[in-house]
Amino acid sequence: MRRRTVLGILAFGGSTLPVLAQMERRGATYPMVGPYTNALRKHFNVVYRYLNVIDIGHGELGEVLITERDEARAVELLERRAFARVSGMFLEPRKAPNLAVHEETVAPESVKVAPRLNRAFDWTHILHRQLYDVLATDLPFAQKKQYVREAWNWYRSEPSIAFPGRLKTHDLMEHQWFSQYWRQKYPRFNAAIWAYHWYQLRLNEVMLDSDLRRRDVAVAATTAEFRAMFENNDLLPKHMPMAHSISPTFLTEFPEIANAFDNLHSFHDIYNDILAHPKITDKRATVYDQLSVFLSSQGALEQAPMHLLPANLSADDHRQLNQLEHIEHMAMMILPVEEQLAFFRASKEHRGHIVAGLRPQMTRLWPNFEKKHAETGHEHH
Amino acid sequence: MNRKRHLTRRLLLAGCLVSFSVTPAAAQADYRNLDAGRPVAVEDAQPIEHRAVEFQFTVPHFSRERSGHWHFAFENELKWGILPDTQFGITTETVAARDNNSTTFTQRDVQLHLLYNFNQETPRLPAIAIRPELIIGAGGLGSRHEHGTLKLIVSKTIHRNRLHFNASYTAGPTEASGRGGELVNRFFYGAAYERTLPLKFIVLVADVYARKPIDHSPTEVVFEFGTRVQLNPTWVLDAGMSTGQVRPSVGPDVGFTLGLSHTFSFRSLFPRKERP
Repeated sequence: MRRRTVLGILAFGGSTLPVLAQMERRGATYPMVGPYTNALRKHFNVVYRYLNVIDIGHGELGEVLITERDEARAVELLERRAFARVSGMFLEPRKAPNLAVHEETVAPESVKVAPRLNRAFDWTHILHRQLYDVLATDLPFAQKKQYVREAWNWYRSEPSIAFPGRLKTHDLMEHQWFSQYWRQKYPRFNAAIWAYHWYQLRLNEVMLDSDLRRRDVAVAATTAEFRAMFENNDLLPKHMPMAHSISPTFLTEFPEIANAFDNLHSFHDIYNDILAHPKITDKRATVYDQLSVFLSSQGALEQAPMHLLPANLSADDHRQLNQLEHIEHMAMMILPVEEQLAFFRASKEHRGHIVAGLRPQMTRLWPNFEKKHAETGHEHH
Repeated sequence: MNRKRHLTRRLLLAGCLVSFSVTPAAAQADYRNLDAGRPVAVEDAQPIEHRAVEFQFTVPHFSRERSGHWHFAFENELKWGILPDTQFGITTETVAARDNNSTTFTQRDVQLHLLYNFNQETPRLPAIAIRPELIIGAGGLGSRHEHGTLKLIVSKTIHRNRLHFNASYTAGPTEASGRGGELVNRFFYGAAYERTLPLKFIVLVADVYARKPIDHSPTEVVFEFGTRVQLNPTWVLDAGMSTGQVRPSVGPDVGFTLGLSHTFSFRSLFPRKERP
């Protein structure tokens, strides 16, 4: 009897080990407070509401991909229903929540998949919100810069969940065996996600203006352009926007922060590919493998020159930029500034010739470029 | 006894003043974070965030045991996320009790607690927490002795539904009849169901629990339901109703509660080395 009991306890203990091995700390941390707290909500309420919708969009995406086994149904849910829901809130901001949405409430199942990644996303979103709060104040510009640096120092104090301030190579996002699956299957919602990232990066840029009147006008114009993308879906970006082309002032002023946000956005793409790809069965292990590479500030760094575009591009220029395919955007990462300006204003056919000419350089910069290209074909870029 | 009472009153008054005077924080109070009694007795396994402070304002908790026999309890609680996944709290209870045509107004017990959450919930593993409590007797209707309690809390999320299970046992002497309030039970166990309405920032919650009062009176079985609503980034309102008619011979026949929680933080709680 006693032997049976001991064996029973051992068997129970053994069966719980894999579960206990999965245990991760929750580690929720309150954001640093300061005289800027809640300034965005107070002074730029529509922007605040839009950012809340952006959080909903990200959350719903993960939740559908995790809970819906039928891919056709998942496509329907995201490409039509979820897209319509978030569009409705962008077009009618009063429908957008006036409170920040906890991801656990809109994505209760997907947040369980890889808790450390969710902590990293949350932690970076907290940094981003803190920056917007600082930049939304009327504090002297020097003081704002000080608070932004403080926020960055605070962010970096948690290296296990902080994206590094050095840019990771585009090869990770674009050229792994599962890369681009998400955007091919869910092009419309993916374009919405890239629009979110465009909006966030443009806000970084225009809110940095020390002239408050000019800042407010620019924020309104940026918000109007973002809204226009949901009125006319042809305006949605066709590549993942990055700081060097659309927020060059911010990148110059705070290079590490801009790189961390670019890294965050790249990892969103990687995460979406992992969640969407049916051949990846162990989502958690794959996410953590990728995350360990991405959160390290060493190795797999971007080598492309990525010359900054001028900060004074027109609204039309930004629209043209957004219409570049992702491979064209990657080509621009190699070109000098003058050639970049000529490139995105050129015809699609002419751009195609330039991209073809740049392929040897792209292959040298991104070792998996040619392999991926051969697998998927040019059109998938 | 008086010194203890004055000290806790001062602490909670300070908490009240501070919560009105500090800069609100960018983070939000979490309307889903269930606290014992706000509005139901069963709580979740989630502590408040590290470096967050939460003050629950004086709230009426009315319960009528029979006609002419009722009490209003006013509970104040101050909580602080002292470490990652760990909260410390202090709760006081002041009651107005009516029995046999006489009304008594007095303080009743002070509770100190820690709540430690072991883990983030995963698809297989629920969130698990423990809550050790120390109850210090105070006031005319409070306990005469100190008591120690250990509570186990388990929370499991299934889509937008959450289930919570609580069980606790209290060590310490049995109190004289009528002494010791709702902050101290010989044992307590219960389960709660919670439904989140994320874009309305509301949760609906119901629980059923059994409690054995520390004065050895019969075990009560109580059913409660209520809601928590996020009013703005830092304020949460809760309201609930209860009945002990699940076991009609003992316990309250009807009760209600209404509460307000305010979450905030201080710059001084953040490490100086990270500041410019």
